[in-house]
Amino acid sequence: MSDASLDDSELVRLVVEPGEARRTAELALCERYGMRVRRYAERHLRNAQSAADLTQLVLLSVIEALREGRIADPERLGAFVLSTCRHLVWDENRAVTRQTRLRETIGAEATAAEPTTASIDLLRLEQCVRELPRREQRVVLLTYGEEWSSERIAAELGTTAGNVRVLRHRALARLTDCMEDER
Amino acid sequence: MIPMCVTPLPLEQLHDYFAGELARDEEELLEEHVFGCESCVRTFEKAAALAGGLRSLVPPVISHEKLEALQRAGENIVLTQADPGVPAVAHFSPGVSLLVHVLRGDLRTAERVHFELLRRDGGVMMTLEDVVADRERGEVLIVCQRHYEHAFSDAYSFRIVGEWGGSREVIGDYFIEHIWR
Repeated sequence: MSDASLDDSELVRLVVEPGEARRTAELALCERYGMRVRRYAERHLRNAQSAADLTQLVLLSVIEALREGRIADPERLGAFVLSTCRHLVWDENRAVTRQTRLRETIGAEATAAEPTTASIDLLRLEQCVRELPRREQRVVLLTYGEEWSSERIAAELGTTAGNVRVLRHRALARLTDCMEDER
Repeated sequence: MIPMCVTPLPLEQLHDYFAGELARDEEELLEEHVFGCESCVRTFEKAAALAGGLRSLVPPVISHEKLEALQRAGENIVLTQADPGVPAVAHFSPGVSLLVHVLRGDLRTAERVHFELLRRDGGVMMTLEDVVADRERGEVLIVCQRHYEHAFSDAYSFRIVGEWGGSREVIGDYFIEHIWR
């Protein structure tokens, strides 16, 4: 089991100690930052498998740096994790054995280091999108389905990019409510 | 106990981040905040989950760019060309992930293009207004997913409608028989 009550500087301190304390601290680190790293990677790589790979590599790199005492300011562990993400994000095609390496590094419970990200009911979401007002629906489909910028959507809809952003914010608020209504 | 955030990130800003709409410097500031603030992680995850869900939905009408992106991503897609009034068949065989119906018609001068899904009695089940259409090629790409078999079991035909100066005219009715297995 990991320990979520440890603060960042305690995690950094415990990782250089041998034995169970180290393992607990490393799992806590994976649990604390794994989801953020994963979402960062999804945002920048736009590919689920590459994002999963990168998450493993970032966590591995951070743990190795911690073990070697290479983190100058333990209070700023989050900043260190982020800078590791930034350094590695361009390199999503590196060696394919990251999960194996992470398992070798922190032990058999490495699967617990897989970040827990919220899942979403896609059929319900599809229904909620269908229920959006026409213009908001169009903005959502073009933003996320087609990956069009606000400027391009604005040109298509004959409006301004600012208005597209307003429509998108409204739509996302409606979708959030619609998804919560289901619960 | 998670410390309170003094300057919590607005949800709208997180939505802009996941839509790729923030300037580079704003994006970096947001990331720095998220990696240093336990309190904002929940909102970050909420915005990420919604954006991720929306990206994984395949819109009912897509562009050729999107079609190519799906094909590059390894989706097994069967294309069915359909002309107005000419019956066609689309087979959702095992292993096929999506059907894409290429509805052809003269769209060159249409200011807007709309799509309708009709029942056998001619009643409209669903309308999608101002859809993505390739006017040069004269094609509208309609995506059909496996779960539509139940969601649209009464569907009989597709209709493409053009709009000129506020008045609408049918460009074509399309009859595609679906074999679901």
